Amino acid sequence: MSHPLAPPPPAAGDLSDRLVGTDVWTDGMLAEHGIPVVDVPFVTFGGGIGSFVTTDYLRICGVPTSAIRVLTPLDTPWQSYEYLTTVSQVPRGERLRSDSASCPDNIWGFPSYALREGLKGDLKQLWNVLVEPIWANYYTPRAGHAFVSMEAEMHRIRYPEMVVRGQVRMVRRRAGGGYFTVLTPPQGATSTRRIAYRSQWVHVAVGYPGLKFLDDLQDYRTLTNDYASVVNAYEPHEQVYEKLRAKPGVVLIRGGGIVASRVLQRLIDDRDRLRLDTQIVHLFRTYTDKPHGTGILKRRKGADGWAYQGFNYPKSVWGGQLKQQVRKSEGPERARLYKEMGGTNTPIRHNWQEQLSRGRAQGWYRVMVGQIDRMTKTGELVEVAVNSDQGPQLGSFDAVIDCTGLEADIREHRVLADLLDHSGAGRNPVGRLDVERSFEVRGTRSGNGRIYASGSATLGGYFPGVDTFLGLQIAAQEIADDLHAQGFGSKLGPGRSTSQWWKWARGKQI
Amino acid sequence: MLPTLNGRIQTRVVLLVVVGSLWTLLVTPVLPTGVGIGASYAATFSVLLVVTVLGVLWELVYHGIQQFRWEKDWPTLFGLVTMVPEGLLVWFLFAGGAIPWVGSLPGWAFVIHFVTTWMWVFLIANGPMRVPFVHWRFNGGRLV
Amino acid sequence: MPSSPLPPIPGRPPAPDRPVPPRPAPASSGAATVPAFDQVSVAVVPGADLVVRMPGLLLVVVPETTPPAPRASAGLDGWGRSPGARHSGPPTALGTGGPDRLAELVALCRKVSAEGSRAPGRRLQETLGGWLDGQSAMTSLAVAAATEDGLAITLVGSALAQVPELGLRLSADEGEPLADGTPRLERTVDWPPAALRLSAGTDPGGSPHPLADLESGAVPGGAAVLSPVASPGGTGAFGPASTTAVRLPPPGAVSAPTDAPTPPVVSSAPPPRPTEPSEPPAPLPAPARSFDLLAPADPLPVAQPLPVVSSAQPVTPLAAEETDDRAKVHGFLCSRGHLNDPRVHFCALCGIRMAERTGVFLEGVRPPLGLLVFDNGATVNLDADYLLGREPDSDERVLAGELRPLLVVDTTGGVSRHHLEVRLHEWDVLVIDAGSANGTLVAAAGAPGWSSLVPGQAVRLTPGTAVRLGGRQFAFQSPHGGF
Ligand SMILES: Cc1cc2nc3c(=O)[nH]c(=O)nc-3n(C[C@H](O)[C@H](O)[C@H](O)COP(=O)(O)OP(=O)(O)OC[C@H]3O[C@@H](n4cnc5c(N)ncnc54)[C@H](O)[C@@H]3O)c2cc1C
Ligand SMILES: [Zn+2]
Repeated sequence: MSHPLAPPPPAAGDLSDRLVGTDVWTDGMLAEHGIPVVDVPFVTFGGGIGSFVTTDYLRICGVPTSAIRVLTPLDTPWQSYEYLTTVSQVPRGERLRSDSASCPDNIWGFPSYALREGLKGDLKQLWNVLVEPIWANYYTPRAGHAFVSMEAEMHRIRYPEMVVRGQVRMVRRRAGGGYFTVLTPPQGATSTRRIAYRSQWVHVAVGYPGLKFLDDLQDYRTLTNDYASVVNAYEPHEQVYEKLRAKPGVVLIRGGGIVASRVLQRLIDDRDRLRLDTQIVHLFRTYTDKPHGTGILKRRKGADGWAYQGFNYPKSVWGGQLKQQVRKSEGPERARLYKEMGGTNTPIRHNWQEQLSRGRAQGWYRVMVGQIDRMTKTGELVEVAVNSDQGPQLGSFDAVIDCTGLEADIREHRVLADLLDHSGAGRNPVGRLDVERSFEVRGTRSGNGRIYASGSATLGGYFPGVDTFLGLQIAAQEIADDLHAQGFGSKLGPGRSTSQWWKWARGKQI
Repeated sequence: MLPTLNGRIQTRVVLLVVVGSLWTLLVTPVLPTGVGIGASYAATFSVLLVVTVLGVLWELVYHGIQQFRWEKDWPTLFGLVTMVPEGLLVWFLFAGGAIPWVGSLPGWAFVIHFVTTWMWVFLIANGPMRVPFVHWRFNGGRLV
Repeated sequence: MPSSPLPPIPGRPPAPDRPVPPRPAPASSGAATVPAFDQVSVAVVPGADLVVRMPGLLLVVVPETTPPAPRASAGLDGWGRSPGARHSGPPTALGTGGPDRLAELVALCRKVSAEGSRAPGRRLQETLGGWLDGQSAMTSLAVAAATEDGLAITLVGSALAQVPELGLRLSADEGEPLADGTPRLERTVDWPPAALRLSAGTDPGGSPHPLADLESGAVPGGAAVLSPVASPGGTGAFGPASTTAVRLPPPGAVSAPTDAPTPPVVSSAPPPRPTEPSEPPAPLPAPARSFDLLAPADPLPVAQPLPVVSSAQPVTPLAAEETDDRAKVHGFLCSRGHLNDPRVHFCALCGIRMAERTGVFLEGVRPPLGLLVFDNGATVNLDADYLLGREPDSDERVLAGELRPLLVVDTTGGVSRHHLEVRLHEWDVLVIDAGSANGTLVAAAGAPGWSSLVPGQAVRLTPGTAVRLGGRQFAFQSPHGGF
C-alpha cells in the first residue's frame, strides 16, 4: 500500500533500509543506528495465552523473572482472547469449548475446572465429567472461571514484572549467536523509536495472524458504507440482536462451526426470552447429514448439517493415539491426517439442539446448502443471491451473520513474514510456520540460539492441537524440556513437579 | 483419558503395583478373610497379581474397542465400569480354584478388596497422577 | 435429512432467463427490478371504505353495514364464541356479512402476511380464494399482495385496480364470479411502472394528500395508491447521502398503546410489543423517501441533495466545513490498507489484526462509527453529525448544513424541537443535550440505572449505551469494539 504521506521524521534509534535489508545483524550495526540493546536470555512476544503458559512453565521450572521478558501490546494475557470470545457470544458467564483439564492457570490440569467447581459445591459438574461424553455433553469451563484463575496465576508467578509493552517489529539473527528482537514501544514511552532485545532464545506466540473477513463482506461494506447489516461473528455485532429486539426480521447465518452454533443459540435465546419473531435461514456450504469419515474406525457423528465433535480435533490429539500418530508423520501424509481430523465441526449441546429442532418444526429455522454469490443493499435490507444446490436463489434479509472464520496467511503477519524472508523459517505441509517436535522454528538456529513458536501460526506441525489452551501448554512443555536440555531451567521431574504443585495449591508466589 | 496401548499397560502396571500394593498392605488386616494374616496377604496379593497380569490382556481388548471411537479416547466412566467384567473374571478364577496356591477367599473380602483397590487406582489415574508426572497425560499414559 | 424440499428463502428468485451476475444497480422502476413491497409508500385517498396495510399486502374493503346481532342485554351469559373457536371450526354455513366477517378477512390476511415470507401474494390469493368460495353476498374488496416478481391482485364486487397513468384498468367483472354471482377476479400481474390505485366501492376520485402515507394498519379511506418507486438503495436522484430527515415512527405505532409504562433499563425495555407477535411494527420508510415526504414543500437551498461520492461538489460557504460527508480522521492502517481507530485490535473492515504498521498515524476518510438502533428497529448509520428532535430542520445549524436533521416522532410529546446532538469527533461518538425541555437519559451497557445529560456537555457513547429522549429510545452500537 502506498499512501501519499510524509514519512515520519527520522527518529533516533530507528531502523534503516540497510538494516532491514540485512539478514544477520551485528552488535555494531545496532549501535550505529542508536538502537538501545537490552540483554535477557529468553524473550517471548505476543503476550497472549501462549506467552503466558510458556512463561508459567518456565517459572515453575525455576527460571527467575529477570531471565524472561514478555513483549506485548496487551494489558493482560487473556485480553485479546476475551475480546474474541465476548463478541462471538461467549461472555464471561458462558462456557468455553475446552476440556475440564485444560487449565491455562495450572500446568498439571489438576485440580481440573470441574473438580474445582465440585469442591465449591457444584457436584453436578463432577458427575458430568464422570459420565461424559456418553451420557452428558462434554463439561466445559465458564470463560470467567478461566480468566479469574489465570489472573491469580499471573500474580503468583509475578508475570507483570516481566512484561514490556509494545509491538514487535521483527526478529533477526545475531552474528555470533542468539537474536535481536526489535520492539516498538508505545509512542512516547521511550526516547528511541525502537529497542532491541538481545537474547539466546526467542518464543513467538502471536496468535492468529488475523481473521480474514470474506471478500464479499468487505466489498459490501466498501460499496454501501453499511458496516452493520453484514457482519462477521468475530466482530462486535450487537446491533443485529438489538434491531431484532425492536422489529421482527429475517437473519441469514453462514457457516457450520462452533461460532454458528453460538450465534444461533443467542438468536434463539433472545427469540424465546423476548418472544420475538426472528426468522433464521442457515446457509451451509457442506451439509453433513449423517456420520461420516473414511472407514468404520473413523466415523465422526453428524446430522442436520453439522459435523459433531467435542473439541476442534478428536480428543486424543492432545495426548493419545492421534497425537502419537501425527508426531510420526511427515509431508503429505501429515497434511492428509489434518484433513481427516479437522474441518469445520461443532460440539453437540443439548440446549441448542433442542432449539433448532423446535425451529425446524415451527418453521422459523430453515436450512439451505450453497454459497453466496453476491450481496446488495436494497433499502434497509440486504439482498443475497445464493448459488444453492437447488439452483440460484435470491432473498432479502435484515442481517447476514458470517460465521466462517477464515484465517489469514501467516505472511500477513509482519513478523512471521520477516522470519520467512530473512531468518530461514519455512512452511509446513499445511502452509504455516514449520516447527520441530520441540516447537523450534526449523531453519532459524543462530549459534547457540533457538527460536520457538506456538499457537495457531504453527498449525500443521507434528502436533495438531496447537491453537488451544492445552495445545499451548503442550508446546510450553516441549519448549521447556528443550531449554532444559540446553541448560536453561530445571528439570520438572516428579519431585520438583510435586513441590511446585503444592506451592500452586497454596497460592504461594514464586 | 487419552491412552495409547503402551501407555495403558504401563499405567495399569505401575498403579496396581504402587498404589495397589500399598492399599493391599493397609487393608488386608481388616478384611473378613477368616484366615490368618499370612494367608490373607497371600490371597490379596494374589488377587492383585492376577488383576495385573490379566489386566494387560484386558487392555488389549480395550484398545481394540477404542479403535471404534472417532476421538480415540477412553471416557472416564469406562475406567470405572470395566471394573465389573474384570472383577467377575477374577472372582470366577479364584472361586473356581484356578489359582491353586490360594485356598479360599470369602466373597466379601474379595469384593471389598477389589472394589476399593480399583477405586484408588481410578481416582489417582484421573487426577493426582498428573501432579508428579507432568508429562504423563500428554504421552498417552506412558511413563517411560 | 438434507435440505430438500428447498426452504423458501424470503424474497424472489431471479427471473430464470436473467443471468445472475453482472446485475445492474437497482433502478427506481421498471420491470427488471421490483420494488420491495413494504418499502413503497401507500397513500390513502379519503373516503368511507377501509384501507388495510400489513407486510406484503394491501387491502381495500367496503365495510359491511349489517348491524351486529342484537346483544342479549341481560347479563353476560355466554360472552359469545371465542374468536379462536370461530376460526378453527369448519364453517357451518356460508359466511354472512357483518363486522365479524370483516374481522375474519383481516385476520386471514394477517395470518398469511405473518407466515414469514415477504411475498405472500400467491399464498394469499389461494387462501383468500378458498375463503371467498364459502361466502355469500360478499362485500366489495380489492387486495394487492407481493409475489416474488410482481403482484397478486384479487378483486371482488365493484372493486377496481387501475394504473391511471398508463390507462390500465382491471375490474372484478373480468374474472370467475363467486357462487352467488358476485364478480371476482384473481390475477397475478407484473409490478406496474406507475402508481397503482386500488378501490373497493366507488372510487371517490381525487388524489391523496401529498404527505399521506400508510405504513401499516387499518384506516378509513376511499382508495389506496401504491407508489411504484422503490425506496432507492443508493441510486436515483436522492441517494441516502442526501437524506436530510429520517422519520422514526413511534414504537408500537400500529397497535400498542404508547403510554405503556417504560421499564428503566434498555435491555429489558423493548418497545411495547403488539400482543400478536406476528404483527410487526410499522416498517421504517427508507431515508430517501422520507426526504420526499417530510421535507418542506420548497426544498431548502442548502439541503440540496449532495451526491456523497464527490467532495468536490460545490457547496454553500456556510456548509463548507462540516457537511463534507467524507470527514477525515487520523488512524492506523491495517496491513491491507484500511483506516482504523488506533485503539482497536482488529480491522473493522477486513478483520486482520492491527499488529502491523507500528504506530504510524495517517489521515484518511473516516468510516462510519457505528449506528443508532431505535426502539422500533430503525437504524441510523453514523457517518455524519446529527440533530435529533421533533422539528430538527428548523435549527440554524441544520439549515447551515452543519448537522443532519433526524426527526424523532414521539407521541408522548416528550421530545423537544431540538433535542439532542450526536456528533462524531475523531473516532468517538458524542451526545450533547441541546437544551431539551425534558432532558436526555443515558445508560452505558451494564450500568445500574439512567443518568441525565447536562445540557451542552458532551458525553462519549460506548457500544451498548442506551439513550432515552421523551418516550423514545435508541442504543448505540459500533463495530469498532469495546472502546
Ligand atoms: C473465539 C475463540 C474461542 C476459543 N475458544 C477456545 C476454547 O474454549 N478452548 C481452547 O482451548 N481454545 C480456544 N480458542 C483457541 C485458543 O486457545 C485461543 O485463541 C488462545 O487465545 C490462543 O492464544 P495465543 O497466545 O496463541 O494467541 P492470543 O491469545 O491471541 O495472543 C497473541 C497476541 O500476540 C499479540 N501480537 C501479535 N503480533 C504481535 C507483535 N508483532 N508484537 C507483539 N505482540 C503481537 C497480539 O496482540 C495477540 O494479543 C479459541 C479461540 C477463539 C478465537
Ligand atoms: Zn483491514
